Amino acid sequence: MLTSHVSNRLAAYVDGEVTPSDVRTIERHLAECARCRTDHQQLRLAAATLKALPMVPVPDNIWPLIERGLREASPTVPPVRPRVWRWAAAGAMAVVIAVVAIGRWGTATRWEVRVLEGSPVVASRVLTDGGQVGAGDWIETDARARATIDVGAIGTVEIAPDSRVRVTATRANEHRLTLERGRIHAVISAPPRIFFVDTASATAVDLGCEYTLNADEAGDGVLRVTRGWVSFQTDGLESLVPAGAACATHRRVGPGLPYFEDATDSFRQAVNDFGFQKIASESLNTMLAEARARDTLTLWHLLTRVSEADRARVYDRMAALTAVPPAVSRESVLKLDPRTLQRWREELAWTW
Amino acid sequence: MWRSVAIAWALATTLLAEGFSFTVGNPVAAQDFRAKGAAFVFRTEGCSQSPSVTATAEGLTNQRRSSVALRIAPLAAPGVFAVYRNWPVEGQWVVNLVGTCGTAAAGAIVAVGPQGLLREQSTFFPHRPSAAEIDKALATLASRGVQ
Repeated sequence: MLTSHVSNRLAAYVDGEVTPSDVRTIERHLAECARCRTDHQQLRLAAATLKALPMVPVPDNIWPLIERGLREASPTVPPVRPRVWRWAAAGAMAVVIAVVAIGRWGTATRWEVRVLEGSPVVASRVLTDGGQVGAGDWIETDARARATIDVGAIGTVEIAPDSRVRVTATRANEHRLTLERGRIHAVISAPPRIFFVDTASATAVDLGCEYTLNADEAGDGVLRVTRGWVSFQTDGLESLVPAGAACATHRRVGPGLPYFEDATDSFRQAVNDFGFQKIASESLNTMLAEARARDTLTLWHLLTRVSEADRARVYDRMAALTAVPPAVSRESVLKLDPRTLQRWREELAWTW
Repeated sequence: MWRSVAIAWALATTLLAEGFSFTVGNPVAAQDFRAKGAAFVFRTEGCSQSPSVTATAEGLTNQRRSSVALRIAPLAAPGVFAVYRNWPVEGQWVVNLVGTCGTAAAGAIVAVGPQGLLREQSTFFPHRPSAAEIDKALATLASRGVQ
């Protein structure tokens, strides 16, 4: 059933600034409302485009020009009509530039595929050397085949033996693969949220990284990050996985808690049990007892996935392991204030 | 009067720089995709003005000491910088960070292994690290077989 439209909250949703319960509400609404889905797509495109724009140094002469402009726009001088037209022309020019830029940004391209070993099947043809793939093409390797894809100009993806991968989108603002089964290793050098890999139970969103992802048809799999960050997400559930950490995903559940691979065996077992084995209470106790300062990565994610009573225990353990920044209050954390949680995560990352 | 102003200024600078220190982290701490290839990232704390920071890689290879000047790359967040690996793979190496904020100084000897930052083996000082402190850090890494 549709509730009121969520357009006015979509910008905050795209920026990850809404509470988990708002996320669920918005996503339920988006599933049913085509109008809001269109708004959402446009916002995502705009956000991705803006994030991908390069930083350019401000020219030294910018302030004198601004000051001169302000002097000229002094309220003692009545506005004159030609200036209005000048602004209108500038606005129209900006719109034209934006439309051209977004048009080019959205153009699909084809990517190079190289055979590393054996004879992979690419777009229904057995490949022995190299070729190209476009959106919709499948790449399949048998037990002896390996291939690598040049993902536009942003990186490479190596496809391991016994894997099946589909190229889903090759636009400049959206490089997307689907890993149906098998394993891939991605090395990406691009602004965040340009490269995506879908599996049956979660999507790996590149935040500037290098990682290995394996998955099966049902949706069970593991993400291991070797450099940078990956957001592993599905339906409002997000796990942020930094270098040195891993995160499992399971069918009908989605991504579990991320954990550092150098954590103790019992901690890692507890992470798995908490997410997927339904023995949450016991595994929570183990995680709290075994956590090191670095394991606040896992505990930070726990905050949003436990009951209010357990959340207080998680907070207290985190506060015992690391210094809580002055801007992060216990009360705000327990209320799951998104800004507070983000601020704390960014500070905790100095220990990760 | 000018003398009083100068004393007040010096006092204020010293107070503002109280607790001037370095914090180091793995590249993920910078929240900046451009840092992902860095050996480590760092920020300064306790300095209200723009501190001056230099970095050198200090190495011990076959009992011979050597030094390599490093470039410090500013990142998107203000006051956060990346140090990229720009020293030979042989031998033991640490990065010597030296910062000054007004009259205050801070130093860090940052140990970096093949997998990146060695947090437990990095040390922090309220002064510029001395040659003896750097030698000691390198000797400790050598005794632990860290390369």
